[in-house]
Amino acid sequence: MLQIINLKKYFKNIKAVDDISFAVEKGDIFGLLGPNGAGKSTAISMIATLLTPDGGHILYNGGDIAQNPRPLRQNLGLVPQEIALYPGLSGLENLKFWGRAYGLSGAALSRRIEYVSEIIGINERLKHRVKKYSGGMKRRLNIGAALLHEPKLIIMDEPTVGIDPQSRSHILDTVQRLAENGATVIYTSHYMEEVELLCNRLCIMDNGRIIASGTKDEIVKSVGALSELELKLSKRDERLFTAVAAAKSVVKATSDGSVISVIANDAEKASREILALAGKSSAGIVSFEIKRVSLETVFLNLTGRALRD
Amino acid sequence: MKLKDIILKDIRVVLRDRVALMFIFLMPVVLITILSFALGGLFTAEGFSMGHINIAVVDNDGGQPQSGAFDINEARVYTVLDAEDVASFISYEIMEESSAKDKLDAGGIDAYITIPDGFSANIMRAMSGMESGGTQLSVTGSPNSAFKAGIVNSIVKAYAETLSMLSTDIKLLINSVTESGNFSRQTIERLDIKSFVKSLAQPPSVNISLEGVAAREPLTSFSYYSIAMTCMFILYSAGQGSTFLYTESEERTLQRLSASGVSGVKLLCGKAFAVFALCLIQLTALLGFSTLVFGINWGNPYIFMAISACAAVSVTGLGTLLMVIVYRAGNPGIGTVFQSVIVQVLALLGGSFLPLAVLPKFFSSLALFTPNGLAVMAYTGNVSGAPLGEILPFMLGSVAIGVVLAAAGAALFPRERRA
Repeated sequence: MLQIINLKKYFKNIKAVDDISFAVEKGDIFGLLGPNGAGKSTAISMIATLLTPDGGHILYNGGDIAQNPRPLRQNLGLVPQEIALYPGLSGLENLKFWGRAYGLSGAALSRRIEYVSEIIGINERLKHRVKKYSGGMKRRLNIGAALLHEPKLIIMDEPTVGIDPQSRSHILDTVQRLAENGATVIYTSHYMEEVELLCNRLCIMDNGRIIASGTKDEIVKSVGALSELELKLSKRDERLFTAVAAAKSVVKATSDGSVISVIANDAEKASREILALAGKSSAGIVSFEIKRVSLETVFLNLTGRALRD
Repeated sequence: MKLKDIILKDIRVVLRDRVALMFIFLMPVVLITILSFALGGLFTAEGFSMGHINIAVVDNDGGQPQSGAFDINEARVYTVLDAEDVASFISYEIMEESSAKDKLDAGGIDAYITIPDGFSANIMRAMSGMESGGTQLSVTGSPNSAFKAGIVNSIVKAYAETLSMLSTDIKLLINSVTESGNFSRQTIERLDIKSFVKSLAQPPSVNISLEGVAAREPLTSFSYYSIAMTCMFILYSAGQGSTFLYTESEERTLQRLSASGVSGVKLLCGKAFAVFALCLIQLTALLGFSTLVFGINWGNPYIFMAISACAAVSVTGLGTLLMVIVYRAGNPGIGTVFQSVIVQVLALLGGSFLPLAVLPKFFSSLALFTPNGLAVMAYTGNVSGAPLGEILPFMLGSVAIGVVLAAAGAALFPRERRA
C-alpha cells in the first residue's frame, strides 16, 4: 500500500530523516518507534504531503505522491501530534468542519459524525466547546476528526501524549477497532508498551535512521540472545549493585531502590553470578525473575540509551 | 471544502471571542454615543459650526461714482459681508495688503479678500457693453484655517458669479431696449441691484465646507460620528483578520487542512472573504444601531449599500496584507500594533476623530489614501444628498486600495503554501 524508498530530509546541517526505506501493507498497524528527535514526525509529515522530501520517493498504491498527491490525500486520515482543532468551536462544529474539509456534506456527514463520535466516546460532550474539554477528550476528538471520511490509511503521530490512563486505553481500543474494520494504521510513539500491544510490524528510528525493522520477534532476534533479569531485595544494597554491574555476563545494570534490573547476553550464566553475589549481601532476596525481552530492552541495546532519555 | 465553510468558521470563531466583540461592536457604539453628545455643540441645525471667521479686505479699488441709473457701490462685496446672516459669523476690517499678510501669518485673521484696482470700473464697463479688463477678486487663506478660508472663498465666488450674471443681464436688457427703441429710464431703475446681491448672503452649511457645494442636507453630530466611528472601527475587522492564518498555523489546523487537500490559495481567499463578511456585518450592525437609536437617514439606500461594499473591499485588502505579514513574521504582535497604533493614526488622517473640514487642508489629501477616510467622505456625501458622480471617486478609491493591498498580500503569501 505504501512504500518509502530512500527518503531524506535535511534541515540545514541536521539530517532529520537520513535515507530511510520501509513498506506498509494493507491492514497493518505499523509502528514507528523512536525517542524524541528521532525523525518520526518529519517522516510522517513527508508521508502526509506536508513536507517536501530532499530525496527519495513515497509510493501510494504504486503512484509517486510527489507527482500526484491527490489519491493519498483523499484516503489519508492524519492525527497530528498536537491537537489540531478549533478551541472556540464545539466538538460537533469541529467534526462538521473537518468532515466538509474532506468533501462530506448533508446526511452522509451527519451519519459519519454519529458513527465517529460513538467510536471516540464523546457523544455527550459534542455540543460543548473544545476549549472546555479535558486533554484526553481533545485527543479523542483529534482522532475523530481524522476518521470522518473513512480513510484507508490513518497516520497517528503520538496520539496518547499527555493524557489520562482511561483516555489512553480508549484510544488504543479505537486503533485496534479501526484495524479490525480494515484500515491501515501508521502509529508513531515513544511508548514501547503501546507499540508492542498494537503493532504487528514496526521499525525503530534513531537520529534520522532506521536501526531495526520487521515484526517484533524479528527485531528481538536481530539483536542476539538478550535476557532481562530482575532481582528484588528486602532493602537497598549499593555495594551489591556495584558488584552486579561489574559482573562479566552483565551488559547493563540499573537500580531502582531495592530492585536491580539487568540485561545480559547469557541468562543462565548471569543468573548464577547474580545469585552468588546476592547470597553475600546483608539484604535478603525477595524474588528473582528472568523476564521476556521487551522492545525497550532491544532499543537500549541498539542505541545504548533508554527510549525516553 | 467550499469557501463558505472557511468563511463561516472564521466568522463564528470571531463572533464567539468576547474581546473581539468588544472591539468590533461595543466600543464603537459607546464612542458614537459619547462623541455625538459631547461634540454636538460643534454642529448647528444647519450643519457643522465653524465658529466665527475673521477676515481682512484689501481694497485697492475704492468703488466708482454713480453713473446714471447704476450705482456699482450697491453691488460691492461689502453688501454681502454686511448682510445680517453673513455678519453673524464673519467680521471684517479693511487694511493694507502688507498688514493683512502679517495678520494672516500671525493667525489674527483666517483669510483676506483682495479687491484689485479698477474692479468696479470693469464691472461698470461690462454692464455698459464695453470691453472689460477681466480683473478678479482673490481670497488668500491661512493653511491653518483651511475650513474657514474655504467658506470665505465660497462666498466670494458666489458673489463674483452673481455679479457677472447681473452685468450680463443688464447688458442684454440695454441691448434689447436700444434695439426696440422703447428705452425707459424707469425700467432700469426697477433693478434693485443691492437687494439682488444681498440675497446671496446665506450662511454656509457644512456641505459647503466638505463638498464645496451649497444647498445640501446638513450633517448632525450623530450622523457624522456614526459614520466616522464606524469607518474607524471597521479597521478592527482587518485587525481581527490579521491573525487568521497565524492562528491556523499555531493551532496546527493549517497542517491538517493542507493534508486534507485544501490549497493555501483557497484558504487565503476564504479568509479574505471572511474579513469582507465580518466588515459588512460590522457596518450593518453599527449603522443599523445609529439608524434605530439616533434616527439617522443614510441617504440613497442603493448608494449606501454600494459604499458599504466598497469600504469592505478596502478593509479586506488591508486585512489580507496584514494576515500574510503576521503569518510570515510569525508574530501576532504586528496585529496588535496595527490595532492600537496604526488604526489611531488612520482614524486621525481619515477624519474619524474630527471632521476633515476643521483640520489643515493636507489632511483632506491624506484621507484619500486611507480606507476609513474614503468611506467617511463617501458616506457623508450620500447623507448630504450628493449625486453619485461626486461619491463615485471615493468608492472607486476604496476598491482600488482594497485591490492593491490584497494583491500585495497575495504576492507575499509563501509559494510553498499556495498548493
